[in-house]
Amino acid sequence: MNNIALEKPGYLQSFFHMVKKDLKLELRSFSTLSVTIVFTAVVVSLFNITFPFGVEEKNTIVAIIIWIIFLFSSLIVSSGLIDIDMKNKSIDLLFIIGIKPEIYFLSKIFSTVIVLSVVQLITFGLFYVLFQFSINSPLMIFVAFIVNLGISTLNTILGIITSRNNINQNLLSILVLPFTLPYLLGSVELTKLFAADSFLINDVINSIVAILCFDLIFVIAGALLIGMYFKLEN
Amino acid sequence: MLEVNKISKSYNGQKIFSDLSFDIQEGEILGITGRNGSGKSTLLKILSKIAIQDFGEIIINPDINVDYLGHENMFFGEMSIKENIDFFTKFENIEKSEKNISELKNLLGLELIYTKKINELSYGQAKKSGLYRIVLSNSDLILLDEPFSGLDTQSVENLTLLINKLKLKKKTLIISSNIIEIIENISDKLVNMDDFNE
Repeated sequence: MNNIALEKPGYLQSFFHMVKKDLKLELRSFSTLSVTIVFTAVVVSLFNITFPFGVEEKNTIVAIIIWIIFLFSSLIVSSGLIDIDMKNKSIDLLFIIGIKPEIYFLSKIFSTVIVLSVVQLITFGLFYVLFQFSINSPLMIFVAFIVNLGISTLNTILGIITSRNNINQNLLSILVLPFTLPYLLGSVELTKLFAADSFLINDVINSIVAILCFDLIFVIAGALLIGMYFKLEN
Repeated sequence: MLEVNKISKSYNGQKIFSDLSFDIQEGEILGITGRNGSGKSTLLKILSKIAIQDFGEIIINPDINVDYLGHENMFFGEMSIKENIDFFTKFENIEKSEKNISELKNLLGLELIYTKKINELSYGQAKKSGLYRIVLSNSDLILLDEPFSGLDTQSVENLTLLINKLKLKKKTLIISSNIIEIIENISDKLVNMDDFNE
């Protein structure tokens, strides 16, 4: 039983090790991805049937639907990824062996962002097929990523806190809405502009900077909050 | 190695234990006994830093690694024992010797179930897989919460053997159990939590 202890992995290695585990489990079961894709497909199909709107309205309504789908998909993904760690109290073992709560939090955000990116790809594909809604600007990819990061951060913060407190996770969708409004408003506006394909960079730069600032605030404040939360929770 | 001075803990205003003191030196085994609800598990959670005491102090050598096994095996249910072991030992960066691995697997009866998912194991098998991880880890202080519960007679004997082997390796163990005969046999000292519930 003489095992040799080597130098412990650094924060970055621990972070990627956690993300790898999350993605491996997700790819094996497709548990959150399948639910999210079915949810997306149902919502998109329903809107396709019920909204035979004109060109002007189409871009606005599709932009709203897209971001509402992403918000709720992110909720499903982040709570699914957090649940895996809550069962059997695996999360406690992670902290006992020395994972910092802040690293845990950041790894959950990253895993959620990756899974949600797949959902975003599928959603845009569905909107293209069913609504002939296409965006040619490559800036849309960047906007999709930064908004994805923001809502995943918020959902991860609230997801961790609600699961640790046994609060009904249905409440999560209500709690998360006020915080995500700045993202939703900004991203809907940008999506509309990109879809119209007639925008000046000055029209969009302020919204992009604002979203980036929100990302930065939520990621830093979230990491500090989660670190403090796990200390106070005891 | 570890000194506990007059610690107390309450939950929702209800006192669990108070003024609990003891110390433990390297290579010793401390047995924790007491009736259900006397705070055995809470004490181990405090020592593992999952929980913190309300009052009192715990002085612990900062250079030692502490590991803990609770009632649950704390593994990811959708991963096999092997995957869990690989995952958790990577954080502790332990180079495992093949001989040790196979000896341990044999002793705990895990060879045939090593690639099975945790969710597919019985309570006893899952518990043994948690024990397997904790023995592989290079921890100096090992905290075991009711390790004998849910195990068959042969597994209890093997676990007792394993604990004695750990003791020979100068590992320090704190073990909670309601099975007085076993805990009295393997421990160097005993703490009865009932004495601190008044």
